[in-house]
Amino acid sequence: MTGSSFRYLMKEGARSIWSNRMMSVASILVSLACLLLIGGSILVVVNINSFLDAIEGQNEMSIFLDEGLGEIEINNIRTDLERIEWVEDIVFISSEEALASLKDDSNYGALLDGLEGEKNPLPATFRITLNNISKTAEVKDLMERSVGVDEVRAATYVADILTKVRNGISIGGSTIVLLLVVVSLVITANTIKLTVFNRRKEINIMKFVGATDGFIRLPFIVEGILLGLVSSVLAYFVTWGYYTYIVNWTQVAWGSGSLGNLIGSLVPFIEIAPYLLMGFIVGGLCTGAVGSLLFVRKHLKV
Amino acid sequence: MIKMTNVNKTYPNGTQALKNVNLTIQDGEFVFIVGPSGAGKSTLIKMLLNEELPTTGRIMVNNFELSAIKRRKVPMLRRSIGVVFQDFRLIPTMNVYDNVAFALRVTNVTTREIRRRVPYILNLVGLAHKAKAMPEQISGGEQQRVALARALVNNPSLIIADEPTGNIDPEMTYEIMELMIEINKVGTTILMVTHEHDLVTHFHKRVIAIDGGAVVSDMPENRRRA
Repeated sequence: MTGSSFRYLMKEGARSIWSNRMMSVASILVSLACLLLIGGSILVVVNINSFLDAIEGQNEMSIFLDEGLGEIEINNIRTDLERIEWVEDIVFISSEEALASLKDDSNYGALLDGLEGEKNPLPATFRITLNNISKTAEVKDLMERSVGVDEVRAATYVADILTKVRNGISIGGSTIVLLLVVVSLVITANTIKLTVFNRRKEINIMKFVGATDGFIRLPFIVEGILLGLVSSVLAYFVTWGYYTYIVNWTQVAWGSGSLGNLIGSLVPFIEIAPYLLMGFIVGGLCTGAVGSLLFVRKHLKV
Repeated sequence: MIKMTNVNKTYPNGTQALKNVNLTIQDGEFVFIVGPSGAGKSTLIKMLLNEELPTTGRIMVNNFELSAIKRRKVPMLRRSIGVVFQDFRLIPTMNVYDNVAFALRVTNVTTREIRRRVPYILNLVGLAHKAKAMPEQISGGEQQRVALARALVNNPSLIIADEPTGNIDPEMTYEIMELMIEINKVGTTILMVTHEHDLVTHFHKRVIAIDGGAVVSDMPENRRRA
């Protein structure tokens, strides 16, 4: 194929979008709707996960140590904790620090005077957070059996519920997204099929003047790619628009009140944007190109 | 040159469209193919264009052996033939110029060459002034002349015309016929399927009659003149 033929076929693909503009608009709208639905579902799942992350981050485990442990024994327990792969963060609070902090935080500072040194009733503690909340019970169990540990307190019940919710969201979310992807593919495929069917006569004429299959196919592929690109970029900007609106709205509505503290803020668009744009473009382009390729083939057998 | 040897065609539904057809058309001939509807004329054309394959027998068209032609060679065969259909088959979204240029574009002809040849051919069929018009904006006769220009632009050695005057008024019919005669004079073989008895009697050319899928008569040009 010569350079001028290639340029011609590229132009032909673009021209054909304009000549068949009703069908072009229809297929852009169909892909746009599908991409918006998929994008919307992904954003919901991402935000629920980030919300769960935030809650899990607040879910601390306290490991109270036996009285009178020496530095070596405390370090042994720290080493034990460091060896557990699910432990994210370890903070050691000595009895003195615990007492000082209690004095600062409560209104009864004076009542606690004189409890320093050997009279201090507060045990030294390790406060840890986990990177995998579903392992709370296991870690608790493990640490309870450690030498020098008096008691472990963890909200295993909450951890249990959160784990179940997260699993549910993962399975439910991916099922919905997958279903939407399949439905979108079917709808887009049908739109392309209809476009190609509308132009079967044209394809037939091309065959009779001696066009090769590749020559006939290329403008359709160019067309599919361009339509896919337009739909994905549109979908990206629409998602950006409505998502930013929702983020701003929640900031005002929830403010810094207790709801805001509990739920935290939504994931900023900029964090998801590159993945979303990439996904949209790859999805849009592939469906457009592959769809055109598949359905034109049927009409080439003349 | 066209050479059909013992060609039979039976469609999957059992219809026998062609029965033991043997015919030879030499380069530069003008041949009418006549016969009633359902006689097998369309099947014959489809076979010459490799749209259908013979059930048995051999077909040679412009040195291509059609019963053994490779799929990737079919476009080359079709480029050596100019086809004109009864329903014109112009691409509705392209103007007159582009419809003609299209036949050159598929053969990778440079844009420069296209700019030279298309106006020349449009001038030849008398449509230079309608180059920018869309097919729907011109008459049936004009559309057929565009189709003829498209068939000619590649300088094919053979033109196959399937009832080219079937959809146009009588005045235009003779114009189209005169054009075909002119094209034939420069050495292009013309194979024209027609229903119109007047044309066949008016122009003294070779006439092959088909009925029931078989060649029932083949009257050469010199005998018809006599």
